[in-house]
Amino acid sequence: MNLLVGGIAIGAVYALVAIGLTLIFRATGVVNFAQGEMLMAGAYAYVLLTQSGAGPLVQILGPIALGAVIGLVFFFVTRILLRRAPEISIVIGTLAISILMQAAARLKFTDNPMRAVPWLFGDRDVSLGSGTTISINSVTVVVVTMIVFGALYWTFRRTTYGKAMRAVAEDPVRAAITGIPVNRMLALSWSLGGVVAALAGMLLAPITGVYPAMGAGVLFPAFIAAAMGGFESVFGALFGGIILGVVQTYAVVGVGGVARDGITFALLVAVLIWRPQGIFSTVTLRTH
Amino acid sequence: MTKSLPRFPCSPLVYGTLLGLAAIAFEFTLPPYPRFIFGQFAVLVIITLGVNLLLGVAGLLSLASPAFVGIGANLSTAIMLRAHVPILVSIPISVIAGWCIGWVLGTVSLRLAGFYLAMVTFGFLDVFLVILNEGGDYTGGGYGLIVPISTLPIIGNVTLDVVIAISAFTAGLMIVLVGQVQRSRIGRAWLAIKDEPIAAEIQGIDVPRMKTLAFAVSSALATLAGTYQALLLGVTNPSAYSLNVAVAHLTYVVVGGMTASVVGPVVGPFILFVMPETFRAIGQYREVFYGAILLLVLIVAPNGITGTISDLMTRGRARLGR
Repeated sequence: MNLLVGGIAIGAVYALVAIGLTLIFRATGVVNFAQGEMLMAGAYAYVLLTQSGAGPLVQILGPIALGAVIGLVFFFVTRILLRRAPEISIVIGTLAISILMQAAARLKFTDNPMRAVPWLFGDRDVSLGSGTTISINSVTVVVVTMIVFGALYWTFRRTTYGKAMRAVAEDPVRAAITGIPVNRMLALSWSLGGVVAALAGMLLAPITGVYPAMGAGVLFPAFIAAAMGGFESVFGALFGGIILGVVQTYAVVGVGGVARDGITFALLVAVLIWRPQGIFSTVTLRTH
Repeated sequence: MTKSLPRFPCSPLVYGTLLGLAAIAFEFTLPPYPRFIFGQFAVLVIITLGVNLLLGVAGLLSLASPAFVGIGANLSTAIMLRAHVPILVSIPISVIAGWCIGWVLGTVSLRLAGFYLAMVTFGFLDVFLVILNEGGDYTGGGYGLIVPISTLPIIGNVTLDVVIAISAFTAGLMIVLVGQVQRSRIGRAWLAIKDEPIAAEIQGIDVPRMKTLAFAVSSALATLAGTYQALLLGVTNPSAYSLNVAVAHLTYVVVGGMTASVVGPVVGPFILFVMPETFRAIGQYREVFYGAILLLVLIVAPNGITGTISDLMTRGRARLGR
């Protein structure tokens, strides 16, 4: 039971990162290789704020605000500074930023992981009766992810801003003609991606500790989760992430830690061969 | 060039051999330490030629170049240690293996949008590093393998000078051969895929197959360079194949200019590897240095150094009214 919940919790973190990747890719066509470093920045902000003894509201809102600001910086770099660059150069640009952020964190904080206290409820197990217990932190992670997913879903379906963002993602030129401020919507997409990543960082921090490469380790599973949704579907990214988390957890227990990355990689190859348009996606595939 | 030079009836192989011999001659004018740097530079030129072929010519992004360097280094060393064969056997086997792995990876990921290759290779690099660290006696675990002393017919023992000479010769040869491939039918097909994928398909170019070919060639070049690197350094170092190294390779290409040129892949490593190494300038800031340069060049000079210089020359000529 604990194993399953733990797997779902890790999967929920993957899902949050994958949702961020999907939001940004759908809106801007950029695969953000620095999504993991956005997560890492959020995690460091959270740890430093808890250590400084700030109030609980500041502990939560601080990293989120930082995530939004980092998202805006990415918008500025990719959309303003690199506006004439081809898509592939922008992707390389995000890679460069990811290396820069990681190296900066390493120079400032060294490679030693910092311990983080779980959010709100601390780190304890709750009995469900009949001898089974589950970690309350895992439950927090899953619940927060569900709330984020629900909020995003509602935003995209019901609010004017969400609909405008979807319109820009579909067709920026026609969206501009109808009077939607395209750049503002793209900036919003980037900062939403940053916020989701920062949240993932806060949730992952107590599980793995906080260190410069923590985001880089999550990026590849998140890619796979996003690919399961065909980089189109937020729902697909959510379920892809959770499935992957559970599969990985059972693989580590059943086969051993070494096999984890191999199985993860095999899963990506299987998805790409079996349903390259994404398992949870209905759109037809762009092949080039 | 319409008024071209009279064409000598020479194949590119002859030009390549001449350039390679010139590189060897240059090697022996250098004192020991610069000579060692020159050997590493030659290895980097071979890698960068491959990465540029993929990124600059075919327009595809791969992050697995260090993995293939690692495959070359580890596989050839393991073959030499286990089968007790000379480098004349182990290097070709490794290069063929690198080509095949590249072909398989390309086949899986290149039916889709180009960025899937970046993702798949990102994961492949991860898996490769795990295998390297957990491979026990076959990979030397986290410590790497010590390369045995090998012999060649006629030359005798493969000393450091011989390795540098082989690397320099290969780099010279590859500069000419890769340049030839870029001008060939295949090279023009790659350029067409990069610029106009749909038009390329209409022209009858088998787009996924040509992309896979580009990736396989690029992988084979990196593998070849890897076999030399192991001989050059005397060990295989598992920490030398990380994502940071992939970013360094990309930086060489971007700084050199992402075009169908063989000048860029020489200029890039020269500016970013040879010069800092000579002045021993960067140390612990190496990653910051590469990341910052990469971002800066993408923003300020998207055509790289060679592209910017040729732009400036064109503009200068226009201003002079010629």
